[in-house]
Amino acid sequence: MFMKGNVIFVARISTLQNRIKIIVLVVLIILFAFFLFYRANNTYVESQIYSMNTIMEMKIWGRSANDVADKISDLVNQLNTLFDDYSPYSEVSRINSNAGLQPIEVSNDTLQIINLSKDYYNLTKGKFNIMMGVVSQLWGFKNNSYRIPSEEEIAEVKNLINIDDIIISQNTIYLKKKGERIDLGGIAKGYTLDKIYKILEESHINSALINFGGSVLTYGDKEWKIGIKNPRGDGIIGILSVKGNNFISTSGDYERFFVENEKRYCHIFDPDTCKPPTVAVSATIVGENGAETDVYSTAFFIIGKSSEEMADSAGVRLVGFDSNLDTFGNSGGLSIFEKR
Amino acid sequence: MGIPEGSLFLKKGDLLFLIIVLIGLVTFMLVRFANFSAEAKNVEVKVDGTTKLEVPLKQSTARIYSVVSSEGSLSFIIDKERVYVLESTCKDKLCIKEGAISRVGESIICLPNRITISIVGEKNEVDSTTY
Repeated sequence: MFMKGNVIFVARISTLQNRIKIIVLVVLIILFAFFLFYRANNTYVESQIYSMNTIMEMKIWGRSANDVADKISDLVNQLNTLFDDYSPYSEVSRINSNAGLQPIEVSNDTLQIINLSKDYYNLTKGKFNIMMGVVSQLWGFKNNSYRIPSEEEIAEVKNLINIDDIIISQNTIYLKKKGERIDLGGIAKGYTLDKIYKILEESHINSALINFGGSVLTYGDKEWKIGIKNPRGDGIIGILSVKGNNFISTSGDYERFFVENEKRYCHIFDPDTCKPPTVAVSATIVGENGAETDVYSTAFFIIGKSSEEMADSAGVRLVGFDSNLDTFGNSGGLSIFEKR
Repeated sequence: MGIPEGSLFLKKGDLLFLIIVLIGLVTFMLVRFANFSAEAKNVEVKVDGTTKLEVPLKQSTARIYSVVSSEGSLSFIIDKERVYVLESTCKDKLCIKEGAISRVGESIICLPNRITISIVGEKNEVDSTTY
């Protein structure tokens, strides 16, 4: 009897031990699977790229965040070699230095962005004009030697900003007159963000936030809080609340400017006067297309408060500030904006 | 009683054991995440995209920092929970004109020097800023 009882006791312990082992194993497997799943879906990448004479900051959440960040870097660097008119080797610089001389063969992206710019010239009634490069140069913004040009100089330069002087033939671009200069500064960031948006859509990521020199792309199903830089002080002047995927772009007179005789001269010029506009200090556009958003922020910064109706018909949301820092904009823009 | 000897079916004691293990793990994770979500604001300095310095925004006394990059250098001050650039070797001095930053999500960018100074923390008022 004693022997038998002892054997049963040992058998009980061994089954209990087995059961514990199995439980521990199952728990570990579940946790490990959960950990892998969590890690894959919560990959987070944050990176900065200096390109196109500005900085791009990206934050990407999701499974293929690393791949996407690499693809974006490659894209931005590649487009920079085409669009950057500060580099003498870019396609745009080669078009400019061959103005009045010969057509230059260009890549698809350069063709596309210039065609698009011509369309937006018409849509903005000439307020967005990529031929303003020569004006910017005249005022010293291309080499940081700012000066106020004479009226004669301005009259002269007005002959060199005709958008129809951009001759597109097959895959070549030619500027008719010597001295003419294409400057994609008002559209290149937006165009790049549109291409980034395509990369994001084709990838396995949850959300992303790209800030390309102040032009923002929000991607992902959540509410984003985007601050608008205070044009005349520290920090932000208010907050935009936008849902889902959006492009947000701002043009202002506080980023690059010089002051002479207590008057401020900024780096954006009204094509009609070839002088910096003074009706607004900043204009922010929220839209569904990067290039469009970028372009309208420049055009509406030049036009000021009276652009509210144009914003409605263009289907974009506008929030702007005049020189008293009073808010203007269309109902779409004002409804998502909260001034602080 | 109803459970046969040696069965893999969970007994009351086993279930208790499982629950204790899970509670332990969850507590461990909560404690870890709680540490991360402390409401501390930090000043983060990046040079050419790489983080070089991260210090608390709250300092007992004003502190001046120097940052050197391959392109140049700048110095900034952290004073009364505000950060601003004092001097920079860059041409445009936009980093100085930028003024002071104090809220999470705000940053000062010196493009020529490839230096960014940002306020970072868990509780950010904005996700990003358009300018």
